[in-house]
Amino acid sequence: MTERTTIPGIAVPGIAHAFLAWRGEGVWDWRSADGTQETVDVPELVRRLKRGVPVAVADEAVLDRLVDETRGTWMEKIAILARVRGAMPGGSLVVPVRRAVASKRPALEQADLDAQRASLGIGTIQGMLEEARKGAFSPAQAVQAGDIAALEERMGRESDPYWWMSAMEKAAAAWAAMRIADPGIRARATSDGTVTEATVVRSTPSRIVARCVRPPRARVGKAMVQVAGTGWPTLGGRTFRLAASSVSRAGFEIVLTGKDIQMAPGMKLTVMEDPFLPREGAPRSKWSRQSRSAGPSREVPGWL
Amino acid sequence: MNDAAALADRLPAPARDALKAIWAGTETVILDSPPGAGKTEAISLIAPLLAGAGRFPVTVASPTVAGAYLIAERIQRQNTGVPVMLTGGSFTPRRAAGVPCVSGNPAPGEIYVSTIASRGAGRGRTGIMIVDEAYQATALAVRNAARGADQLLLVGDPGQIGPVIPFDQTGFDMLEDNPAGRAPDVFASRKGTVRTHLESTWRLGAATVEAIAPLYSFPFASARSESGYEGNEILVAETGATSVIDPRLMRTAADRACGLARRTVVRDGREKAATVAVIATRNEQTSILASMLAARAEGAGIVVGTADLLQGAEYDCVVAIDPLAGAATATGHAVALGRLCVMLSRHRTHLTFVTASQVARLLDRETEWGTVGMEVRERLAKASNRKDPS
Repeated sequence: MTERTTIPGIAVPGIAHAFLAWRGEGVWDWRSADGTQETVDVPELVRRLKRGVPVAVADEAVLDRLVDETRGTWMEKIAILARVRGAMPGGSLVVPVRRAVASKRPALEQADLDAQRASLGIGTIQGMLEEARKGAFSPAQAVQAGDIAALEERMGRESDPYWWMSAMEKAAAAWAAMRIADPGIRARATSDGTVTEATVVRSTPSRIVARCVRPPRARVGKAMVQVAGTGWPTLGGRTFRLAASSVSRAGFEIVLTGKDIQMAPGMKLTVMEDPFLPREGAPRSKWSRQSRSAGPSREVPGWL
Repeated sequence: MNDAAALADRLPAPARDALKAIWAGTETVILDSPPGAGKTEAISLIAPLLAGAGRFPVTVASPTVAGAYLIAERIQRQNTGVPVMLTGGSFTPRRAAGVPCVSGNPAPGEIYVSTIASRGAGRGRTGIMIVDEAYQATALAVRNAARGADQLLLVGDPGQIGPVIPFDQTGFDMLEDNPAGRAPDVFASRKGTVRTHLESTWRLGAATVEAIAPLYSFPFASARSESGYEGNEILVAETGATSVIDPRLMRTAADRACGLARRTVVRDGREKAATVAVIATRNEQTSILASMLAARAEGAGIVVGTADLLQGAEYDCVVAIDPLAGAATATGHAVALGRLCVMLSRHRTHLTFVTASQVARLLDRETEWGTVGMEVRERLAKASNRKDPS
């Protein structure tokens, strides 16, 4: 299949998707991944898109036309999402490819596109996950890569721009953490506190208290724990909740909880804080447009 | 609390209007301010009035930790008897200047001071949230921070540099309810929002007010009584710089800063050495300037920094390097009007604006930044050619 580009983040190469081409006013070609092609009108197109079928388009101009023809419907947000995701830190790994491809040739065969991606290093989220599977990343980076991929995948299902913005901020932090979460520098305190050293001071079957040399960045979030010299993550890849932290001049303590975990006091840990997983996204707020409420009514005192 | 009426009398009329609106139950109130108009002072009076006389639980949120320390200290200094506390993981008693550091939520009659990020991360409840420097926060950040608040008072200077977002947010631009937008700009469109603005600046003189007027959507005047400085309020020094680190540009700025550092200003009847800052927009410029000044005796006390870094600061004299001076192209960073506004409004007595002859060529008259940027520069030049009475 000839494919010049994808809507960033909506269509991930390697995942079955449809290719959309504009035929004329209100008429679109829908080419499925299995090669079948049919003509659809805009209402049908929107119905299919609402079902969450990943689609690809040729370029920004087609994307703009898609937005124009479906304006006022669900697609407007999807188009924004496409652009938002295209702008994600780390290039979302799709945009650099798209730009590079667009700047060099108007149309490319799949093989050419693959070659372009290869020349740019990691080309897509899918490619990044492949790299992670091949062991190109440190285990910590692999964890981050998985988290970012999960985040991007979820972005396609959310419709609240506040959620997207929140997710992008978290992804920016995740990308930063990924760049620094490298075994070579793991022992050092890192700039945003994502990785630090700790020593177990107390341990019970489901609770570990470890003392670290610098405060964790966030009081809530997940923490990945590594026992020195045994790889990352250890203990079956289990994640532990960062249950509490306290700061003192001597250092700080973190409490990790998890099922059936036990470590001997004195054991060295490397703790990677993971405060940026947007499990909740942007929290519901009375300040969102959808939930407008009136303020209280009070009498202003005379002296005012 | 101590005499509430006397405390309220110290508020300028627009700030009192904002207080009245919040007191009456308006959900969102925006208090805009020109530079040096006493935003922090207004908050340090409004917060204790709401908490003390109104018995509301009040939270003041600042974009930065330093800002939160400052506002907590200012409220404490008002000696109103209303308890004020810092809350959040970033605060330590050592730096808190006697303000207690606690956790939790304010009770009626208490003021908690925190950062916007800290309030956004927690699930705190409060009655009224006052956001300081609200134009430096995104709508997303304020929405998250205020989700446990019943009412919101946003205070800020619309001329300042907006929030720094580490990714391209243009995808959101077409939304009216834009999570990446500056909080007051987005909240202003909520139904029932009351918006008012402070009308005078205590920091800037008349010439500067006139020069930066195109950068504001509301009028304001200078209320500065005396400058304490002999000479023009504004001086424009034009160079033939052809790069942003052109030695002519750098040397002109450094020479002028050293000259100003030798001068004195009279304040409260006392003569004292002028505080001087050199403000640029690029880190390579500040690096060069810092090294040039380090080699000179007069350079010892001169502050060098970027507009982003020195936003919110105040000096007797400022040397500002035109963001477009020597530039080959007009980048978004260099043409941002907020950045220009910050550079032109940090001085109490004198501003030297170091520019270059090629700047006019870069200002695109088809754009807002081009027309407004040109008008501001023309006004600066006009003020420079005029002999100020001071």
